[in-house]
Order: sequence, then C-alpha cells, then structure tokens
Amino acid sequence: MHDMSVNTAHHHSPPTTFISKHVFSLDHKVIGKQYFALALVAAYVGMFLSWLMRIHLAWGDAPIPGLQLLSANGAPGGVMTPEYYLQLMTMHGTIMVFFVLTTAPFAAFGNFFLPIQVGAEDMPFPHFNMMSFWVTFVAFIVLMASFFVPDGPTLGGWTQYAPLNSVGPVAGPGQGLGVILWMASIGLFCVGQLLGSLNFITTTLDLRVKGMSLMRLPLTAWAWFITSCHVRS
Amino acid sequence: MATTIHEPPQIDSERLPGHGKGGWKDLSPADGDLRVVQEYSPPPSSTAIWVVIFGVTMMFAAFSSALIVRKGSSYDWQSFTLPSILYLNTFVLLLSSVSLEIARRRIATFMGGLKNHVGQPNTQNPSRWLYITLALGLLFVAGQYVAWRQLAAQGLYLATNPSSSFFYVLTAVHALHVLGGLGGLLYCLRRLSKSTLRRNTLVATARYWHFMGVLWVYLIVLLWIKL
Amino acid sequence: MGGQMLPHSGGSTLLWQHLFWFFGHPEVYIAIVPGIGIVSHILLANMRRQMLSQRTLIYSMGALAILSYMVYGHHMFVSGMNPFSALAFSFPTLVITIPATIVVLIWTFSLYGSKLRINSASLFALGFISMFVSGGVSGFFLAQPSIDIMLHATYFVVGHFHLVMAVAAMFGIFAGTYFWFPKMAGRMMNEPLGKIHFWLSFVGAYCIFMPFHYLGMAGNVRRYAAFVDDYLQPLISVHRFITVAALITGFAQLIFLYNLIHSRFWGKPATDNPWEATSLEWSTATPPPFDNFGGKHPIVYHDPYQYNVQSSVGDYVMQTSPEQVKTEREEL
Repeated sequence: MHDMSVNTAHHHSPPTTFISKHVFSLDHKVIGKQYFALALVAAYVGMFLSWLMRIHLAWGDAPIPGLQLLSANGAPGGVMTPEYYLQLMTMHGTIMVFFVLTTAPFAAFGNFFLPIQVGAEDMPFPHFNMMSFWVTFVAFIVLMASFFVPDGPTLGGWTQYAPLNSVGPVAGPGQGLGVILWMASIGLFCVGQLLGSLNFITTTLDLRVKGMSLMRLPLTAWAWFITSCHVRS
Repeated sequence: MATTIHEPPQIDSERLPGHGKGGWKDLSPADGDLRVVQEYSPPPSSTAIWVVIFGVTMMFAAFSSALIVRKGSSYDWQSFTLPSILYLNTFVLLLSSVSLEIARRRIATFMGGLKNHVGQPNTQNPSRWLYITLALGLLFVAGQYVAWRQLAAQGLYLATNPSSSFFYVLTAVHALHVLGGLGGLLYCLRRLSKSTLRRNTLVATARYWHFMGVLWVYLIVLLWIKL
Repeated sequence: MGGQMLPHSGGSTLLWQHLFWFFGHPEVYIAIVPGIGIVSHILLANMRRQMLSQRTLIYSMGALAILSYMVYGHHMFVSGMNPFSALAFSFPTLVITIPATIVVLIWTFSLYGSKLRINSASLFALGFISMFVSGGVSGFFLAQPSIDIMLHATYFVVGHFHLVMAVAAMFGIFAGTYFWFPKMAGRMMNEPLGKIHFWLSFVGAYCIFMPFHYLGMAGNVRRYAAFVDDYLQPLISVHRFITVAALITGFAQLIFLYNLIHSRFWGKPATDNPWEATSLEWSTATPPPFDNFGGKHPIVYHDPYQYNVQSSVGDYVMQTSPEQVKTEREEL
C-alpha cells in the first residue's frame, strides 16, 4: 500500500545489462561503491607520492630507481629535482584533499547509506547522481593526465596561489599546461560534487519515511546533510 | 525513566498532497505533546531547485566580490560603455519570463481538463507558449553573442583588460546557465508531449527561469555601475 | 565556489587568497564533518548506550559548519592583509574550538563508564578522537597571529593539518569501512588483520606527524625540497626517522587493501545486523536489495540510538521496530 503523501524517488526498474548494473548504474549503492573504489585508488596514488617526497627529504641525493621513467625531466637519473618535488607535493595535496578526503567519507559512504538511513528507495535524482560520479571520475583522469604532459603537473601547491599560477611556464615546469589541467580537473570536481550534494540535501529534506523526523536522523545523516550544505556554498 | 509510548504517527487526512504550505514547519515534529510527524514534505524538485539557485547565487556572489575588489585595487581598469544590445536582451529575457508564466497557466488548465479563461474547452496546443519562451531564450543567448562580437569589434577581448575579462566571464557563465534552463524547458516540452509532465517539475523549471532573469538584471546593473 | 582566475597581468594576489580560503576552509570541514558523524555512529553502536546529549552534538556540528565561514583568514595572517583583520579572524578561530571541544567532550564523557566493544571499527573511532584532539591542540597555537608569524609555512602547520584532517579523516574512513563493509559486501572483514592495521597506523601516524611539530618549531620551512642551510642539516636525522615511519605505515595500508579484497570474495558471510545496531541500514537485508527495503516503506518508531534498553531482541531496539520499550531517557 502506497502512501501518497510520502515522497518517493523515481521508480526505475532494476537494471539488467552489465553496463547498466555496474558501469552507468542509477542505483545509489553502486554509485557509492564506485566512489569508494575511486577514493581507494586515489589514496594509494597519493600515498605513493608521499613516499617519494619522504624519500627525497631523507636522502636527497640518492637516486630513486625507476623515477626517471615517470618523468625524465623531473628526475634525471632518478634524482629528483626541486621542481619535481614541488610538483609531486602539489599532486599529493590535491589528490588527497579532493579525491580522497572529500570523496570517501562524504560521497562514498553518504551515497550508499544516506537514502537507506532515511528510509528512501533511492536518491531523488538518480541521473544526476550517476553524472556526479562520472564527472568526478573524469576530473581524476584529467588530473592524472597532468603527470604525463611534457612539462609535468603544476607545482604551485594545492593552494595554487596567484601569481605563480597565472604567469605561465616562465614560473617553472608544469605551470603552463599543468595548471590548466589542474584547474579543469578541480572545476569538474566541483561540478560533480555540486550534483551530488544536491541529491543529498533533497534526500534528507524530502524523502524521509513516516516517523523519521529530523531529530530522529542518525548522526551520520546529519553530518552528510551539513556537509552538503557546505559543498553548495 | 519515563516510559514513552509510541503510536505510529497520525496522518492528517485533511491535508492532501500539493495543498500543504511546505516550509520549515513541515520538516520537524509538530509542537505540543503529540509526537506527530507531519506527513507532507516538499516535493524533491522544489527543494532541489532552491538548492541549485542557492549554489548559483553563491558563485555569482564570489564573482561579484572579485570584480569589486579587483576594480578597487587596480590602476589599469579600463572602463567602457556596455553594448546597447544588452538592454534589448534584458527586455527579451524578461519577456520570456512573462511568456513562461502564461505557458504555465495554460498548461495547468489543460492538464486539469478545465476550461480556459474565456470559458471554452482548450483547443490551443498547450505547449505553444513554452515554445515561445524557448525561442525568446534562444534569442537572448544569440543577442549576448552579438554583444560579444560588438565588443570584439571595439578591440575588447577576453584578456585585453580586467574589465573586459569580467564582462565576458560573467555574461558567458550566465548564458551557460540560461542554456541549462533551456534544457529544462526542453525536458518539460518532451514530458508534456507524452502527457507525463508533473506540476512540480514545471514549477521548478519556471522558478529557475525567473531566477535567471532576476540574476541577469542584477548582473547588468553591476556591470553598468562597475564597468 | 571560488571562481577561476584568469591569467592576467595586474590583479591581486591577496584577492586570490581571500577567494581561495573562503572556499578552502569550509572544504576542509567538508572533509572532517562526515568523519565526526561516522565516528559518533560507530561509537554509539559499540558503547551500547546513548551519547550524553545527542542534540548538542547536532548543534555543535552545525555551529562548526557556520563558524567555518568566518575563520578563513587564519590562513592569511602573514599575507600582508590588514593586521586588524588578522585579529578579526583569530577570534572566530579560537571560538570554533568550542564546538569542536564540546563534541570531543561529549564523546569522552559518554565513553566513560561504558563497556566499549573493541573491534576494528571502534578502535579506529577512538583513534579518530585521539588524532582530532592532537591536531586540534596544535591548531590552537596557530590561531594566534603572534605565534603564527613564527610558525606559518613551517612543518608545524603541516603536522597540524595532517593530524587533524588527514589522519583523523582517514581513520574515520577506515572506521566506516570496517563498520559498514558487512552491509555493503555481505561479508565480514578479517578482525585480527584489522587490529594489526589499526595499531600500525596509529603508532605510525604519531611517529610521522608528531616530529613535524618539532621540525616546525626548529624553523623547518615547508615546501622546500632540500636543505642547504647549516642550521637545518641537524634535522636530517629527524627526517630520516619520519621517512622510515612513513614507509612502515604505508605498508600497513597494504594490509588493509589485502583485507578488503580478500574479504570481498572470501570473507565470512555477514548477517543482517552483525553489530546489533539500531539505524535503518541494519534493518534491511545484507546487502540491501535493489530498492533498499524490498518494496516496503519502513516506518520509524524510535530515535536512532536506543541502546541500553530491554527489548525482545536484546539491549537495543531498532528504529523500525514497533515494539514499545522503556527508553534510557526521553526521546528527542
């Protein structure tokens, strides 16, 4: 028996094909797991970068075997240049803050559990939700791509202070294309998170089941709701 | 310790969906002793569009503050007169808001199966005024493009001067969001043709569209003062 | 959302910093607030009793969120902005420690006297509290412009934000993973491996980031790739210690990865509610069906954390259970 006055998410029938079940899924649980996987990969990449930084700080003159394969300019013979150190540091910070710390606790767990904790069948805008993941994914790819452009990624730190970020390659390797890719990636990331937070806020406010007042929400639901409002602004 | 007895929340059967006022008092338990949870929540599309409007407002607020500070702190600000077609564009956009409202009422009449305002069964195509809004919206974007060409003809490009940069960026970002609104209108049109358009969807789209108009008025005033 | 700055001569570096940090500071709260929620959620399930005041927790989270917009200038104390604004930012920064402290105190006093069930999830939750407090305390120093002049852009700052944001949030993520993995994947994670992961990470994180504070006070500037000054050379041994600790801690994360993958395919199958928790996610099947509740709409009868009550299933009553029980305190 369907209570008309309780809002329900869009009814979509269960997916059947592999693509619609695992790749372009509209199901918030699958999207949550996809975000989790993305965060996991990003975390290990970021951790690997931190290892490189730490090794360089401790034994600055020692060559790191294999590093010249990642960047011939940045690490000739495996010895990291100071510029390359800054590039690695920038990427470490950017990846960790955006693609791990924002993605895992908020997007991954939130997507999976918020609708369930609220009692809903799914988020109110499953297509936006799916887009939010894939946009974030593309943002990650764009950021990773900056490792492989000739001059390497940007070196301005995750804070990208002006004017270092805006004067172009004269500031150092990676300040040309690297900065552009960084900006594009973060812009895409922001769009993805805006789409996601839209879903979160609407779910929390509109899709609670009978008996679920705001004060009866679990604390995690509150945390995700507050975080989503943050993301909007 | 108190023993709290919980009955399942009472449903207020007098409140039909769509007639509640929504708003904050519907989101938390009613005051008084009875722990009755209101059944009515705002429709998702309504909440969603307010969230979107809020987000877009924040972004343009950031842009505005950047513009004001940048102008105030520089010596190289080159003021220029705004192309006059912008005022025509403003008029077009506001007109499209009017046509959208007409469309909304016509569609409501149509979907409700009621007679129209002159007391006859509705024979007009209900989506006509939506198409008109769409056309006016496209006209607006086209007009913006003309404005950009006019500026370029004067030698003012994106990177010529901070003032021209802000002009291009602000108008382009606004136009992008207008295109998004046009997408929403197309969505409504498609749904209408299949007779599956929900009232809330149309209301949300209209709200967004009107916001675009209001935002544009704000922008043009800001640009006129600052540029 | 900060707008993107265009490459341009002229312009204001200070403007960039204002715009960036107006976004950047709430951004880091975005990273930590879900962690606070997750940790509370997990501690409640493992403490088997309620928080001292759940309402206060919610309001504190909200206060953190609101205040976070007013503190952003504390990243800019030495940027050349008006020193009076430094004072104006320092004050809310100090004030924002209040809701954060309230949250920690509620946790601590709720934990006191409870019989906390020890499992990987609750260990990481406790670790979160520890890291959050450690990192938060060093933030207190940085909040004051006079001290920040000395410590800005040194390793002290790096130590602070890694502890309070990076490690704490990571611990929150780990805690959430250990707690929710049964629901997400239908299998339990390996408990002994989880505990090893915890202890290595906990000790390792402190070994890495505590010395950062020392380095910062000794004058080690951040974002420098190498040390050529004589006065930084003696710090190299500290750096080497940190590097070794970092590599070991890094390897511990590989244990976690192994645990994840192995449990996903070969872990012990999980029941619907292995932690005997009360919120809605535990009332549905494991893993949840396509529409989450199998076609029914659940009805919620209780507050979210009714532990320490006597009911037909044990010392808790689920949110969706219509059973009427004597609750520990007046429901919200």
